[in-house]
Amino acid sequence: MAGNSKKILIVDDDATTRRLLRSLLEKEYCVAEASTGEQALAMLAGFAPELVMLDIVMPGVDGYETCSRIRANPSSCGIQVIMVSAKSSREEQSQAFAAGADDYVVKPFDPYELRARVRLHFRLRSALDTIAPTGAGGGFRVDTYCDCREAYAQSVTHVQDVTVMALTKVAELRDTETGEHLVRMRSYAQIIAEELFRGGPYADRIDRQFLEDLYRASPLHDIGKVGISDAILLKPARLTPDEFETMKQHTIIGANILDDVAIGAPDISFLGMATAVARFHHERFDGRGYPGGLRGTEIPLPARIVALADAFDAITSIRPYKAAQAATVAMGIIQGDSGNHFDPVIVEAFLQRFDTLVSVQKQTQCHAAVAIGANSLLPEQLAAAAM
Amino acid sequence: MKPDPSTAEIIASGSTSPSPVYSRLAADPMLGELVDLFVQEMPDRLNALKVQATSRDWGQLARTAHQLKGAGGSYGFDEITPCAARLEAAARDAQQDETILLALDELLSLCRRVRSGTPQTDHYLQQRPSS
Repeated sequence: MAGNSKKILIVDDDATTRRLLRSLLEKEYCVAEASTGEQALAMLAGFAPELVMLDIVMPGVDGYETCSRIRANPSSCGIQVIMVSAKSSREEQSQAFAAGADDYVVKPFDPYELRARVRLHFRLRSALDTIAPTGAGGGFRVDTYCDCREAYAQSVTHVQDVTVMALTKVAELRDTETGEHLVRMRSYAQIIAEELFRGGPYADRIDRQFLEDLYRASPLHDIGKVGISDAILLKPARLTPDEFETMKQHTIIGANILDDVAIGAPDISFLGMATAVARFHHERFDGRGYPGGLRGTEIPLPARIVALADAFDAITSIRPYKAAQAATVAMGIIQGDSGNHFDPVIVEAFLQRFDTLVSVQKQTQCHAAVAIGANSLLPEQLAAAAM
Repeated sequence: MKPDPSTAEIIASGSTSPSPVYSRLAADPMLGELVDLFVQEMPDRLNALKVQATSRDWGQLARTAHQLKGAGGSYGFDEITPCAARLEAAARDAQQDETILLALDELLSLCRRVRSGTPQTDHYLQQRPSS
């Protein structure tokens, strides 16, 4: 048995039962025995067990009293106590829990079940120690645990936000457009998704998580442009067919980057969506897009939403090679492309919220300095602004 | 205190029951040897029960029965547990001597039948020529 293994004190006046418990546990744990409650209490300080297996019916200090005294002493109150007793009535078990026992095993016990239960207690204990390290675990309280969890959840969300911001900054650097494009595009996508959530054929495919994930995922759609050379990315003239083929690779490069990140962080849900958006935001509803030539609803829903939001912003923005078009012109173009380039259901949602999109467009143009990331609107604020 | 005549009678009676009782854990690779030890020590336990009954120490008899109740089933001798529980209850409540002794008799005759090993190995051992 390893020197650093967990320590268990077996307390039972019956040597036969102590021997059985010892045999079951000594391969995995450091085991000591006591045949009376007094002896057990005297051994606590020196042996310092993590767990006590405690019989109830013993001459002298019985198991209930022994357990109460373990709990009453600040230096031993965090020890796990499992009562192991042939007293099997409900009242006796209640009395054991009232004395501070963590668990109750009725004798006769199944040896392997008992061992499994001891393992479970150690797993539980190590989980508790991880979230609330309080020495012997004595100070553990459920409300502290909840506070820890909440703080942890908030810190995780914060880390995610910072991560997206960093990735988005990278995307921005390599983009010919400014950060405002990403801010606007994200708002458009969000408003359209909320409209789809409100009703219609996609309503049951969108929930709060979808909206939150989309908010984080949409600005990353062009991150693959980090892998495209300046000669092509910044070329002021029309791309040759070969150059265009290279340019198309930004969808796959972006998806691969995000996929690698997602593998390392499987519980960050928006990364899966971000990968799909990066890969498929240039697909067309009629199957003539790239890179996969997917058709209709084969194209992931978030990618179909971003495709439209991206197009609306492109049409209404100034580019080196074109003037900004009026929003109404963009509306006409998008309507005309319904069923060809765009999903008709999403075009319908876009038309429903057209006025809102136009007001967001004007707003962000007024606040051109608004940077993407920390200062940008949260989904709730965005939703409120969009009403 | 002189033992009750029936006590002496019960305590004197030897093993008469032929059918052996085996533990369902006897063939368990980890626990088999422990079961052997439990069986080997059974005569000491039965002796303790007899001594306690002879001296009419019902409190101690109840505690020994209580231990057997817990240990019996844990060692895979499931029949021992309810039988020991009856003796524990009778002795603890200091019921009529006759009731206690009847429960004791039942437990003693059951515990005398416990054997190590499984029916097969026991049979094999009995077939071996004694040296």
